[in-house]
Amino acid sequence: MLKLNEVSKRYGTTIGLSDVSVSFPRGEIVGLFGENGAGKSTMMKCILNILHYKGEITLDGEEITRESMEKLSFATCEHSFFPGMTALGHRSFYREHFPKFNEKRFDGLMEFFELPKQREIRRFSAGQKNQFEVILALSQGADYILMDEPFAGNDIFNREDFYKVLLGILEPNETVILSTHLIEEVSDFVSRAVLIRNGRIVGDVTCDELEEQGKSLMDYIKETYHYRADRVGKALSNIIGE
Amino acid sequence: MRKHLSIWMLFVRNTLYKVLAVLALMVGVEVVLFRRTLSEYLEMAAVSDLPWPYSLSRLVEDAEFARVFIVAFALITLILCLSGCDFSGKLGYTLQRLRISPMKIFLWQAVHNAMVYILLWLVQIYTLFGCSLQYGKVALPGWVTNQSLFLEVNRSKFWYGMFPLGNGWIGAMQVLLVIGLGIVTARVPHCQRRRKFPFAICFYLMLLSLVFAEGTSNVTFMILMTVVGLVISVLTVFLVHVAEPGLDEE
Repeated sequence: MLKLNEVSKRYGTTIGLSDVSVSFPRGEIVGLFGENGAGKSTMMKCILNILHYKGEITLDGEEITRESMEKLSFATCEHSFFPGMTALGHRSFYREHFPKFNEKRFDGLMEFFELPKQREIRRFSAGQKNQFEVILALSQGADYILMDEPFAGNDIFNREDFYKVLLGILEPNETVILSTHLIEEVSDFVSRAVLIRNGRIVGDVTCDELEEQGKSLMDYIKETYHYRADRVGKALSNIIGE
Repeated sequence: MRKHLSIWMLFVRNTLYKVLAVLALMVGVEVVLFRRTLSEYLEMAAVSDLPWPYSLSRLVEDAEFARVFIVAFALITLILCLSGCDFSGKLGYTLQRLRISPMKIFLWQAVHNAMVYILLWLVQIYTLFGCSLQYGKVALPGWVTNQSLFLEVNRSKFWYGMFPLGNGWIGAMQVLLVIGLGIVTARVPHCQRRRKFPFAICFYLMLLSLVFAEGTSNVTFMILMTVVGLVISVLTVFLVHVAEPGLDEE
């Protein structure tokens, strides 16, 4: 289990995270939702020790060390690959540094997304870079796969293919934490939704619970955020003057 | 060990072709300038009163070897400082997740960078030797001998700065300078990935680039630059060692 216990992070006077406590058991596909600046990326970067934080984050009951870090992988829209290296170069590098690197999965996904293996990644298109970033994260052999808006900028068909592939290849003990704005697209395959607002967890529900309540994920999010549907109408009437 | 070598290879792969291109350009330009200057001298020698009026040391100065070397040094320094920066992506996120600590990654980059500077020095030495052999072939036979060439090597400020024959302690200082350069240039991408800017290091590198060739035979300047470089290097290694894990400032 990946567990955060009263984790806080400040950027100067700005709150990144505020006493966040949440746990992610094995085998879940968790959608992490929130507006821009809510704290989604901050949470992931604190888990990965990319950012300093206060509080405690444990992995399977123990503090995250350099050795246990290989149980976590990361795909980000900021791209964490080495731009000057080819895909094959990454394969060799990852095989060296991550003992559980899954070469079969890597080769299969490269073939599925039709990405060139001998070209430097910097020469990929934006969409191809996103795909490659995700392939690395899925092939690392990690138990917890963190994805921070991995398909920002990819077309709908690409995204649809990715969701199907993800569902198809994940092992039962693999956990995915996926941060995205595309709520309706992912609502069919996430098993749990965690909502963040202003650095705090404001909602945490499983899809089974939503189904029992007869609500959709979008309904739940609108309710949690106190979304006012009449707000647009009122604003337009003020602007147009009708 | 293989993991560590793969880190070193990461930096090699990132810089190899660029460094080789700069070295090839440096050699090409120096050889062209040397030959042009030599042919001008041969023309002047034909109308001169002296049998062979032009020395190798003067030829090396007039062919602007020092300036070409400074430009190559500055370009290579820039290449090394930019290697490992995450301007087009966040490769620091991946480096941060490896079993190898940030300190060891930093040291491997420092080793790689020092080796690049040694390569630059070796290529420059061989170019100078090659040009001096060319000079020895076209110079008036009997007027220029191996012994006189050896003396000329010591007379040329630039040449002596590159290859201080008989002066071991300048050579030792140059070794320390190279080690220091390796460390300070590795610090630049290390800082950049943490959104810091190493002002002192950049100032030191700019100063060194501007006056390098003159400075290597200027003993006082050499001592000053070496001491400053070592102080910055020791401070750098200390700062990297005590840095908190993570890529942000607390």
